Amino acid sequence: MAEKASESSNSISLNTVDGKIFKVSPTIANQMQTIQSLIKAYDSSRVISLPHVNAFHLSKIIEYLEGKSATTVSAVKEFEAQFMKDLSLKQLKGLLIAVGYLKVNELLELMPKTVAKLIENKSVEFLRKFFGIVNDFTPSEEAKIREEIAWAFDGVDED
Amino acid sequence: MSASTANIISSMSFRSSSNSNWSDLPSDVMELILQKLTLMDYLKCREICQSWQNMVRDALSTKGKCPPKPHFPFIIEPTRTIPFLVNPINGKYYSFATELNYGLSLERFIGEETLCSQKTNIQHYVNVFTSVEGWLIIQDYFNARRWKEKDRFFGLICFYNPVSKAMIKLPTLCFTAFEDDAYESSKVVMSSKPDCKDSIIVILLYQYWTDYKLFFCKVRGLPWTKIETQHCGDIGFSDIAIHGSKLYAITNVGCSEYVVVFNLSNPNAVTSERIVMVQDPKEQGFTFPHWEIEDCAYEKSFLLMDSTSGDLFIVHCMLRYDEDFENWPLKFAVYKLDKSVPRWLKIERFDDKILLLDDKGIQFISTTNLDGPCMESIQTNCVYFTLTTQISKEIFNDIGVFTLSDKKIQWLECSLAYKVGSVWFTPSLW
Repeated sequence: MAEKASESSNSISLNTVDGKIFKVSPTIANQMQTIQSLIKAYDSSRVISLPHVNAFHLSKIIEYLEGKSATTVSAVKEFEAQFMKDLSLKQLKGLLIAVGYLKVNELLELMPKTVAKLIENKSVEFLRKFFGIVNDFTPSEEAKIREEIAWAFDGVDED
Repeated sequence: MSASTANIISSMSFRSSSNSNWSDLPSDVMELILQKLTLMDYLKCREICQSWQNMVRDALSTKGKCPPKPHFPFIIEPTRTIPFLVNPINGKYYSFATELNYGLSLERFIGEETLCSQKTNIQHYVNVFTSVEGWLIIQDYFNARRWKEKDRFFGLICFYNPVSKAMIKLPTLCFTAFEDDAYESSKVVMSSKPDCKDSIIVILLYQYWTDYKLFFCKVRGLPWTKIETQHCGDIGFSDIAIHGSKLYAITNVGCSEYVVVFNLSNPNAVTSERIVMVQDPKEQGFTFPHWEIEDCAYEKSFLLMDSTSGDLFIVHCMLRYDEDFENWPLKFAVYKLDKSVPRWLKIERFDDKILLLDDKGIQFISTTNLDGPCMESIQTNCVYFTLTTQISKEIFNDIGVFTLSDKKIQWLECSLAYKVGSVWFTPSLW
């Protein structure tokens, strides 16, 4: 977790939208591209505010970055699978947005891949229900989409 | 956070929660997800809701900046108006939701022909020659016997992308042929995708089985032009390959096969040279197998240009038809041209690549960027083939994998109704 106890003058303070301060090491902070560029712009002693990230999401990102660096190469896949597994769909979405904002490269690879796995070979109806999306098309609009590009395939998994 | 009731839907065990709505994903995040999906799932996202539809539309408009995940090539049926695609690895197959109107090409372009007024009663045929990067090269040819010109065919050759429905017409080509074997055995190669205006297209026409003709054209600006081959001797070509403006053709006269290179950079002055003896036992560097030709067996050579390395390959195979399918002695051998000598070197490994062979073409594909569940069963240093053989009046097609190292064949089950003449095809959005 965050190195709240660390008195290191090198540590970087991050202030989330819900008002929690996280102190992280430069190694961790630099793996978030957005923060990396903010560090360059700011005086390092100042607290960097993150208006789009809440404490839960930031703590998850830090948990991932710290956990991964402490994991042996052979166990990374397992660690990543466990990390993703612990999230609810709502958390997954929120974390995706936070990761997209902070530009955490490794998670930008892992998380979209995880979501893609959920979409693969599923029917449209299943996906709407699964992702809590309301069908806002009129029947004629729906027919039109299928015409737009001829290639809509048959062949999905059983829901 | 949301402690929704656990609803285990997969090994990922995500809980579907009623209070999470994914319709408002930021578009940059959506683009990252789209790039992890294969083309079919990518396009399916348009149908979820308006917001997702708009995001997919925007991603499509980037023309290649947000591509789907590469997919192992499909096998496509060549002639039906509703083509079926099959993934030979897991046996899953797909069909187009909308009927493909190949006949459109005729309707759309015949107005440009002088034959226009006599359009009725045209008997026309459609044939898929081959494919290149998501484009099918289709031929819509029709018989002009109604115009008292027996055996004369007018071929409309088009590039057609069945995903985007884009069609690029090539100049019209007139030819003479028997109805039955019209163009069954001709071959088309192209130097690039058709959206490049300098792309050169070459057709090798076999007529009456003895008469071989080569023509080339460009997508724009150059009509079909005959390539003179008299000075090469009175010979025929069994296969062709192209790299830039250089056309390679392999001859098939007796046992003295060689390769002719044509330089097509100046359409008015095509030059040619012989580069290497292919199959002459007296010649040094001869490395082809002395396969004993059994009854009902025949050999066939395919020419392959690896456009990334510029290397020329020959894939030599022995095909045989026997009543007993269990004992089909199909063999393949791959040779690479050593340009410095020149001579052919037998190879059994080609890094991460695999060879895809069909009746109308051959290509290397790299497996490095391919992904997906079926990829675990993909072996490298293999020839994946769909080949048609004709013995007397019967035609057979077989789909399988030949491993170069142990020379074993594994047959692949494909549920296509009409496999004869099927070709490898990788659909593309652009």
